[in-house]
Amino acid sequence: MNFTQVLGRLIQSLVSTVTEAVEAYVNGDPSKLEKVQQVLPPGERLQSEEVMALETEKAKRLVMAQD
Amino acid sequence: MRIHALLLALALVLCSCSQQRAQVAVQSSLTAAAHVVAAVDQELASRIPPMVEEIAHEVRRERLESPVEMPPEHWLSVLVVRLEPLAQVTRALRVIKEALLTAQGALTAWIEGGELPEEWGPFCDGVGDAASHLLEALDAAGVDGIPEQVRTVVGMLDEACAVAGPYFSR
Repeated sequence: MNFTQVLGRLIQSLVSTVTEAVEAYVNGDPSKLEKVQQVLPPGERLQSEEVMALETEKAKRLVMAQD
Repeated sequence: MRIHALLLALALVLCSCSQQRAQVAVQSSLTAAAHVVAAVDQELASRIPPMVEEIAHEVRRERLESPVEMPPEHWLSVLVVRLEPLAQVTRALRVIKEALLTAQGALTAWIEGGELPEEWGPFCDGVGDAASHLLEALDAAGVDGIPEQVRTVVGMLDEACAVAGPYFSR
């Protein structure tokens, strides 16, 4: 396995971790996203407008959820 | 003749020094303002989730208790309307963040090129309005604590504009 393949696998792993975290967050479980936020440097963390967009999506699901 | 040349050189050195001092002061104000704005942004990012959740639960309760069955679009639009004040806060903050980036770019160009670019004018003219919009939005959304930080940012940016003012020609 060469360097490029290792790098590719690492990127793939990071993308799937972040995708999983965002999906979990939108479905009502923010814990995974918080973990991602914590490892990011302060300047790279989700900004308020991005959090608002995620929260709005989450809220729509909550409002329309059946009993 | 030689004295005139010396005086001219001295004047140029003094002028250049005062300009450099002004650039350092402006840089310092802009950096400090950017730090406060970033802190405000992260503070909002942590306060938005529980506020949105509370509104969502409220709308959900209204939907479940409604005597008349309304289509989903109705409840989603009720939700969007109630979330709008918070969304306005984040949009108003984005305007300030973008203005700060413009100001940083103008300062860099000033330091590198010797003249303060024309976008400095709209930045100084507009930053007060942008801050007022943010303060109004915070008030409308019922977000407390943050307005003081916004006023601090306004003070820092006013100072930057005052220091750079003599070097800016419209």
